[in-house]
Amino acid sequence: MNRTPFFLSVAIIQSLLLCISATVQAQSDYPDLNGMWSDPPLTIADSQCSLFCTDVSLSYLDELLDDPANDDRPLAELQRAAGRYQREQYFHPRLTAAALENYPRDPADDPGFLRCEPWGFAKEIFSPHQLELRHYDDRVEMRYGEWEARRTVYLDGRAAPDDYLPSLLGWSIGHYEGDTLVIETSSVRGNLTFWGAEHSDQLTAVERYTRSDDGERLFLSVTLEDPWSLKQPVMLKKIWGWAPDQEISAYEDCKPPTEFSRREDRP
Amino acid sequence: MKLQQTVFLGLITLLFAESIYSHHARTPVYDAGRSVTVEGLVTEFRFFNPHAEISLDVTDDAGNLVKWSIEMAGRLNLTVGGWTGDSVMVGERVVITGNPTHTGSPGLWLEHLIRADGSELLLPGAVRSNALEEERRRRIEEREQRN
Repeated sequence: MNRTPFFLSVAIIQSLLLCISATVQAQSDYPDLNGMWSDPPLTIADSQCSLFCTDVSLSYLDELLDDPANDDRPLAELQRAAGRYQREQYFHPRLTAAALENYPRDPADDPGFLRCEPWGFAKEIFSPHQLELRHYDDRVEMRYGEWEARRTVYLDGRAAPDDYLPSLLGWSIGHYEGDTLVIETSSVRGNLTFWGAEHSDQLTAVERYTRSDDGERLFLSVTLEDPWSLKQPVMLKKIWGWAPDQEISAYEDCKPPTEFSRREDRP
Repeated sequence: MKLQQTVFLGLITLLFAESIYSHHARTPVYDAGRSVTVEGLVTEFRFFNPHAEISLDVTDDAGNLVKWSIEMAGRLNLTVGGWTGDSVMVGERVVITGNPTHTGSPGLWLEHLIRADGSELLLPGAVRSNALEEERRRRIEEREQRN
């Protein structure tokens, strides 16, 4: 029996096993957030966080739902009431005098509406529907359905180039803490938020992404700070649902409005 | 075809307070506090982002053909609810209820679409809303059983 091919085979198999083992080890170094996410599962609590939510709005919605006096009111009406309560009790007290001067902004002044300008960071990270996450050795690529926006999150801690100017989605670096992807973002151009306030280019954010134990939900917890618009940080949550069958379709047909009215001009 | 216009005012206006959270502002164009119903033939269905659009030929009470534009959430949203580019067919007769424009031009933001056979083509939001109301009914029942 010729033993050379046998030992060669063993060596090759051992090498393959080592490679596979190393790959599995490398993959297990970060949580598997990869894939397509979209609207959250159909529960009341999840849907309240489909854009963003706070503990304030969630607990207030619970209060409304627990009150028999509201049993005949449509759920959508209660959810809107919780949103208004959040705006008044959570956001308003945190806004600086500068931000309150033009709060809440008239939707007719939104450049996304007026000129089809893609959303900035403080809206895009909360955008509804699809979010695709792809992990690579040195970065995470994030692709959003709304506006087909793309973000690159560098995992090697590289600083923004010296000549980097504040941009629509800013400069993001990330790292993993156990099962959590942590992203720090800065150099975001002043723009609008989803809660009707403006922010400055001093905005910074720390996003924390985790996957539920059953794999069906992606949770975002984000802390936003901006000394120009916020007296204290705001902490918001958002939930996506696992949606491997969904696709991001082209954002090809945005047309600026040919007719509209401003808030003060409406009855 | 006959143009039907039904306007609901008053309390409904209060229920649909302007939302700054809508992801594409529609309140500057459409009056969320009113609803209008029109019936007509579909001449085009544009299944695009950020908004999809139905073009509808409607004959008004004076017998004039009026071209209406029916706007709705975009493909990103509609596909979540199972819509495709064939969900609305050219030549199909439909009855559509929606929010009218502030200016009175022949345009609506889609709320309900009823086909000729009487079935409703549900928007994803309506499907979600129905499921959530079901959870809420269970929640009310559980509360009543506890008490």
